[in-house]
Amino acid sequence: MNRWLFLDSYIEITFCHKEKKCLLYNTLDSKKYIFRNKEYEIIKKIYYREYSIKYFENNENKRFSDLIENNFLGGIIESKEKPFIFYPLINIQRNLKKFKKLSYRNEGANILENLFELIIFINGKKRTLLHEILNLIRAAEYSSITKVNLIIENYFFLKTEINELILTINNKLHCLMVIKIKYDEYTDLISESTLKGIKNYSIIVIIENDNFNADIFNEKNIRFVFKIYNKIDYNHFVSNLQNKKIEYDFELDIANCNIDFLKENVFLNKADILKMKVTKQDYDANKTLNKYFFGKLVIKNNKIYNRETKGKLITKLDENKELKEIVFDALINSNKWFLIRDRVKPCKTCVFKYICPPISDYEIKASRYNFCNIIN
Amino acid sequence: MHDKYIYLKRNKYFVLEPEAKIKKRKLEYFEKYEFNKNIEFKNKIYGRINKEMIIKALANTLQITFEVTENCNLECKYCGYGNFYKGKTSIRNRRNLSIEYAKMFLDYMNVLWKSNFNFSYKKNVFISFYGGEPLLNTAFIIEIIQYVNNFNTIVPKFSMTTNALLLKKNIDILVKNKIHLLISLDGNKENNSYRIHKNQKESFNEVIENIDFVNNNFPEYFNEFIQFNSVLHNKNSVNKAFTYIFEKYKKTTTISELNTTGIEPSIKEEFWNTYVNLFENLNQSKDYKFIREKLFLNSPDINSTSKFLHQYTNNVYKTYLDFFKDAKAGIFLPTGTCIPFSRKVFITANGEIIQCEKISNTLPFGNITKEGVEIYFDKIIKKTNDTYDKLKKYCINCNRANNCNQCIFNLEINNSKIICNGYSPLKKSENSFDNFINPLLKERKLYKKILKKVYYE
Repeated sequence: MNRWLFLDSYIEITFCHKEKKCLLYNTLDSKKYIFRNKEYEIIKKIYYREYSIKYFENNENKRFSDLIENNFLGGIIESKEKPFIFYPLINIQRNLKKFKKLSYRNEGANILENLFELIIFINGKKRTLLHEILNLIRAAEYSSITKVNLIIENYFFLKTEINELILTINNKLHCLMVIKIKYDEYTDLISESTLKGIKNYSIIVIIENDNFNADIFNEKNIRFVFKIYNKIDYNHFVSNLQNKKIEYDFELDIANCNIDFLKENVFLNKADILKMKVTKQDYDANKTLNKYFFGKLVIKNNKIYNRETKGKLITKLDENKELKEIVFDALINSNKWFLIRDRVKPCKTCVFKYICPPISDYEIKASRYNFCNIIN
Repeated sequence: MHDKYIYLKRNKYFVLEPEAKIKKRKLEYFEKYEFNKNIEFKNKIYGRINKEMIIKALANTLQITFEVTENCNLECKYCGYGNFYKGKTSIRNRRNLSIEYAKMFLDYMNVLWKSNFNFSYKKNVFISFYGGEPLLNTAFIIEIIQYVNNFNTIVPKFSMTTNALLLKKNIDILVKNKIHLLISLDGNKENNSYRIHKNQKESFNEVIENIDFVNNNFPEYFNEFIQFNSVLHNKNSVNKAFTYIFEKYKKTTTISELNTTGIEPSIKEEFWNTYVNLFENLNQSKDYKFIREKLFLNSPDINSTSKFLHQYTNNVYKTYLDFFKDAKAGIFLPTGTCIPFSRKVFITANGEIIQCEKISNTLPFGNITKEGVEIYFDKIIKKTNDTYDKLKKYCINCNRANNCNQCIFNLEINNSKIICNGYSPLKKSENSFDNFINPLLKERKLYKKILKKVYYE
């Protein structure tokens, strides 16, 4: 009879081989454990030998195995045969990257199930090709779309187009419509009758300075976004918003922000990450794709991009490509939807790379991926 | 469940049964994070199908199979339309499927392929020719291929099941149109002796001559487009059929059992003398390990273990969309029944539209007539949802309800009685994971191989 040291199937392991360090993440209770040096070596062996190795007891091993057992990470088992563990190994059935190697598979099958969100900028900088946008919305009728964002500027001059867009989205897509508009255009928008027949929508009002009437806080179903550049702006708005029962976010001008302000107020600390509760599903997602970017198409200045910030041009509206082809191109010919921390420096060597939230637009704008105080 | 494992149902983890000294503590831990959350999940299996679901399934189907003809140039002893079987399925009137009917159906499909219901891009759709022996009606095949090649809505691929007797004669059509062939061959001459002409003469020599001709003269086509299937019976074995085809053509063969439903009572004994169980026969094979590895998913135990890993563990995501779904939210359709037409549409020689050939054609889901194509949406919805209602009391008490494989159209259901072979009552202590887990314990590399290599369509 042999004794075997094993890890349980609900334990995920992330290594930083360079630093001889690894993280064990328990997907049941969300607890995280970092191991280094000798313990790292043992875990590495366990990992490469399908989650179990022969166990020989000595003081050091005993201490380690007790730690594993007491924290429900695994244990010791007596058995003639090596125990079989259902260790984590992801299989994505419609893994389009695999399909390229499998001639019989269909890359384009059910492609529209990968479209989740449209972000449409209407700003009048170019004459909007409305007809083409409306065609895309109609074609998305049976896609997986759950949200359309309309980011509006110059509402007063583009009223007719925007109202037609709102009505088509409402009629064709059974999804949430989010209208983002600057404070000084909000009254024009809300006074229009078009919105009165629309059920599933919400409005985000962007406030850039103090020049606004506080009565707007009494209106229902509005979220507010306050644009800030530094700590003074931040403190100013926070103090003014105290005791106000409103929903709000801050939007940072990352390019012009002070790094110390970011470190103090935006960057994640180790304690923040240790508190995070990531499901097995999200952990696997973070290994595979970027949940912030995946499935989103951005329509801006009559062009379609695969991401809001520094996105890759997929097509121009006047090329009249079918929506299916556009989603196919976004998915197959671009890696942006799959931009994960394992593919960027310095995150790729961090043991928290699958626990951390996905790479965000802020990070892209700032051209740095570690918005954290762990790796500098 | 299994003597070595505890199944954490909600999170779909199999964990090793803890040793006695820590068992109590570990079970308490599981109790806190897992066991007490089981119930809510179960009650969500009350989804019902609707017309939109069926239209979407049809517009995105993987395969359209035409029963080109009921005619056959062989009279195989075990044929599904032969003496072993009773009832409607055995009635063959030597009809050919009307080309016009087939075109009408393709036109109907093309409207759907052009619509927003089709959410696929440049999608491969298999247009398959089935019989009888489809090569007895090549006029149909040529015209349908030409017709569908003019569509710009799909990427058509063609396939056919054939006995190979007319292979040499029609090789130009097959090669030109890159038709994927599934050739029925049960092994060597003796193994193949149930595959006979109407005058009782064996077909083996002619078949082999034809296959050799293709192999020698069209080697690229042979390598890429030809596969074999062998029916298992008392004149061959998995080992014999597999070895013959592997040695002669360097190809594997899929092995099928005789259909055990609808047997004519008067010759039951003869049927069961002919029938051989695939799983048992494979296990007795001399080269068991080699054959099993080559057969891989066509080996019954590996196939069921693979399905088990896909359904009962949390490693498998069907699509990228699954990363965004709340697995605990939503309403699920009961059983494992496909949404009608999602995988296949089968058109019989007399113009009936059925879901697939595995479901008896006593249940047409539509019809093609001179007036046009009609899908019986209301009938399909009523039949399916009524069956779901009847099954409800079983499903809500079944251990496997969330991972069910059962097709409702293959269940025996009448007013008083229901037989579901997969039913596993919640109260019953279940040991049914043994059959799936034991192959993994016997062959460790199977787990990795299945999760790395198996992609179901």
